[in-house]
Amino acid sequence: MGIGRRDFLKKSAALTAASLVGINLKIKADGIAPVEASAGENLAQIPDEVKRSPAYKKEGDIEWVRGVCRFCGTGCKVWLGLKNGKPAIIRGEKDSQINFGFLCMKGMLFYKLFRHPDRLTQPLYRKSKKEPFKPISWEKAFDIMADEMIKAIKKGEWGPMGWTGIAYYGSGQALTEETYLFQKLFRCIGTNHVEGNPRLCMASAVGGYLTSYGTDEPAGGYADFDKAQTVFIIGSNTAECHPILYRRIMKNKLANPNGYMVINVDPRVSPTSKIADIHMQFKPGTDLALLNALAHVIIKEGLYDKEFVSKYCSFHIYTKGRDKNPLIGHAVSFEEYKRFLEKYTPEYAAEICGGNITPEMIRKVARRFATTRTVSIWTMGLNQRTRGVWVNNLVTNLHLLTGNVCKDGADALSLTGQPNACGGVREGGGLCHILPGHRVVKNAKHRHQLEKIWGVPKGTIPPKPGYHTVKMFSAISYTEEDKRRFPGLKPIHFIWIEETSPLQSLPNMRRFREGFARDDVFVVVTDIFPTRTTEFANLILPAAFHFEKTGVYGCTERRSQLTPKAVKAPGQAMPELWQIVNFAQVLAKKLKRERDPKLRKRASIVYQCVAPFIEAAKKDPWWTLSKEVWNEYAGKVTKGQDSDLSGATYEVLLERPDGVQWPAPTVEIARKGGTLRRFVVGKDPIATKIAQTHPEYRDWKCIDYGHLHKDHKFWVWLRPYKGPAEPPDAEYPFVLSTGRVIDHWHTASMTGRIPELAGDYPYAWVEINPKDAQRLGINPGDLVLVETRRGKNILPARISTDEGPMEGMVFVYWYDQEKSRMINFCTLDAFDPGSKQPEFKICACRIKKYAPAQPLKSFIVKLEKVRGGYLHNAELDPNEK
Amino acid sequence: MRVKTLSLLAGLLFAGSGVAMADQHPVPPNVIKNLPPQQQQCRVCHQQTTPKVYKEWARSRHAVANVRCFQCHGTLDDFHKTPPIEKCMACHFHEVETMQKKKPGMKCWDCHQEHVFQFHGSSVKNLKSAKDFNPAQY
Repeated sequence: MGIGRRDFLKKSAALTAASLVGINLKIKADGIAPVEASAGENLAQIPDEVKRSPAYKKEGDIEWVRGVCRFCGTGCKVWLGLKNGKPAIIRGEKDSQINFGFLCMKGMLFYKLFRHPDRLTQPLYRKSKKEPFKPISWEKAFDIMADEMIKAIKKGEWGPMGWTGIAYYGSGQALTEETYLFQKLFRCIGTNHVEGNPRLCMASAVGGYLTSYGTDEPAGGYADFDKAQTVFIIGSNTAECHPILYRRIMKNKLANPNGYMVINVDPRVSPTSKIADIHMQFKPGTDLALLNALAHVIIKEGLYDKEFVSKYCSFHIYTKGRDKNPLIGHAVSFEEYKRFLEKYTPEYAAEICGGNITPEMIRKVARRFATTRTVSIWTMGLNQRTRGVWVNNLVTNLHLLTGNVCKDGADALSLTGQPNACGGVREGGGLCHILPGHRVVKNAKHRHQLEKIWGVPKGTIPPKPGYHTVKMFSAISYTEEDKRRFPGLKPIHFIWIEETSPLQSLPNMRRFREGFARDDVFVVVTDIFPTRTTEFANLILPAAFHFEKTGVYGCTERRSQLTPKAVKAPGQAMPELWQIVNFAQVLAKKLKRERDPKLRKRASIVYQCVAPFIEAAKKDPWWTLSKEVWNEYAGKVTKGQDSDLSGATYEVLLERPDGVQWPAPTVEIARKGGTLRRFVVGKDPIATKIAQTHPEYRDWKCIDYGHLHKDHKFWVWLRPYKGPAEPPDAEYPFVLSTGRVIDHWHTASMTGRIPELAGDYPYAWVEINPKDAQRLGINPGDLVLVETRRGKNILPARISTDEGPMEGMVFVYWYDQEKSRMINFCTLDAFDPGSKQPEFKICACRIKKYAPAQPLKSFIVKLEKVRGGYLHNAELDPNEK
Repeated sequence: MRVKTLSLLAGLLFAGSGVAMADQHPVPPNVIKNLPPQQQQCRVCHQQTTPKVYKEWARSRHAVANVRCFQCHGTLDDFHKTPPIEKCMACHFHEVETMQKKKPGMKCWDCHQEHVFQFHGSSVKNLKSAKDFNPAQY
């Protein structure tokens, strides 16, 4: 609706006086004021180096500081605006090649968390988990922690994976510097029990890339969406989980509705399906058959890229018993691959897949995939499966067969869920089997390289990987069942959990929660808000929030971006780096006094681990400390590796509106944004160097330099169809799957405290197909009992004819903190034998109507003052405990 | 039935509210918070109470890109019948800035119809909804 010229002039004239002209933009800080600082207090605390850089500007009474959003793996660049020294607004960075100025609701609202009244602002301690927490000083906290850690080390044993009694559990939301230093500390103390929530999120994608490319992380990036002709979305609700990427796909689709095809492959019709030309709805767990059938058609109809396949690909299979290394398997011929695919005719697959899959649909999709520039994207739908690695391989296979890699508009792009699962955990060495800079624990050469860089004695890092996530938490719950499941399991008595809430996010978690409640496990939690995990803590350490500390996030497309400090942290909240450096010094002192020579020897190693950062931690833990840790990590540890970030100094990262994609071995390359297209000669500095120095690769256009692929080729894997671990049966006839909504981030400990987001989705729902609902007499809003072999939930029903799961399947969101709606009591902890990632996406359940629609109580974990200290609201309420 | 009562209540409250109450959501927050969950979300209730507005939004780029009511109109506690232009600036900062420099006081919806926000034709209407999807054609 336009307006007339007369109206237009009238309005313009009338409003001139009240206009927002030029730089004097009058921004109203809207909503409930969560900023609890005293009226005149100036919260802006911006380092001078940032103030002198392009990442800072002042417009009127607003100071703007540029950083990254922390609410998904996209990596949107944002400007945080501080009005009169208080966080008041967030907007997108227009020049960013990631989000072009756009933000989703989480990104534009997180400024409301800086001074939220629930923020943790002082270290809290209790000896027994039955007592209230009492505030203590940081010195006292580190003292207790060090004592408890040594006690736990002594209770455990020394083995090839190091001390068995202690563990660290980190997060894909921790900064790269934090994950790097945390894992460095734990390896130096002498344990490989280093894990993090990315095990629940992208471990299968790591396994996929490692086997297909020989090295982790994708070859292309988001820019490929704009040059693609087909986007193949499988196992991803991009519209809600990566909204800004979805917007980009939508924009391309709307600009070219007939030429740009979107194919959504998902058992559930999600908001992502809105722009899909084809929605392939298959029975959960049958994706391997479907993807092999697509390959079958591509080969059968001769649609594969003959030159690419013959020159750049080889074919591999892993046979248990015959092959030693599952990452390598053994090579087979193209003919053998063809024979393997014979079975997967479209007719065969369509029968297995069910849903709306027809042989003709499979043929049509395969032809489209092969004959156009195609980008595939996927996330948890493929990764959270007991055959997550295999299914990752099968998507990449399609790209390799059709030559849809290493060129504009074509890539197999695994989207990362968290903002720093790639940069921090995959590259920073935050899992039990990997070390920073794409090194692995098992490789003695890799261990010794790191020991040399760190200046610690050879043999400091234990040679065997520690426990993966499910095993680590089983070593804490340590029930008879756990011991049977993992023979030789050694108990863990001390765990430091950082920036994550495993006691809401782990699958089949009842026994974990019971285990954590015991007093023989000392639990330290570093976080900004009370969570379902702090309920089981002995020690809660208050952390600084995003923009209250400095550090780098690395997103899906190998892109590292800096978020500098801008806001003063509340109370005594401190950055994790400061916590590590100070704790390590206390620990070193105490270890020195130990009688056991093995422990005493570790004193100097632990001290050496943080020695380069002690000065900075004293002087400026907010900026200089992070910078020095980054200089060690990027400048020394990644140098010469494929994830080379040595050119991406803080100075360059402050300059760039959208960060740097590795490999970026020099400052010149980093200044231009790094490497968009990996493996391509002329575009990737590592591939170019190989082509120049090795005559046999002189005429190659792309070179796979993955350290596992000595033939420098991409590997197509033969992976047979295998169903889920717990298919539905007569007793539990439905498939239960879980996921996220756009408004909430993971366990909602942050987004549940933003009124707009909490108001839009105050409770979790169970989505039921209308046909099933009708059969069971369930109406919209009715309370439904969802039961699995492990637990039960009572959730309101959501029944929609537009969106929702296919018949025989239910879908539940996992953000709700209310006990009867925490779906991870029900999910399954079976995991992929390769990636050790649990199968959150499929388990068997049954449902029935429990009660008619009624108002519900929303719940968020809080600390409340009681006599003698603080307790969580759930600890005071017997129903919630 | 409940919806009808709500609409009536909304109408009465709105009629009696006058200009001073323009930024008060016609149905008070505490009434909405006591409803069963499926009736609490703005878009669910408005699909019935203001179907025209809902349809305009549902066929817009904003809807496809998951831009929801509260992102412009705020929450029940912070409700604006006409959103302040600052709400647009999280994503469209430069557009608002340029507009204010060139035509001070202009609002986005002076040219782009509110809720639809068509921009040289949004082509959203060309999209098939998942409901319309017919596997037989493939």
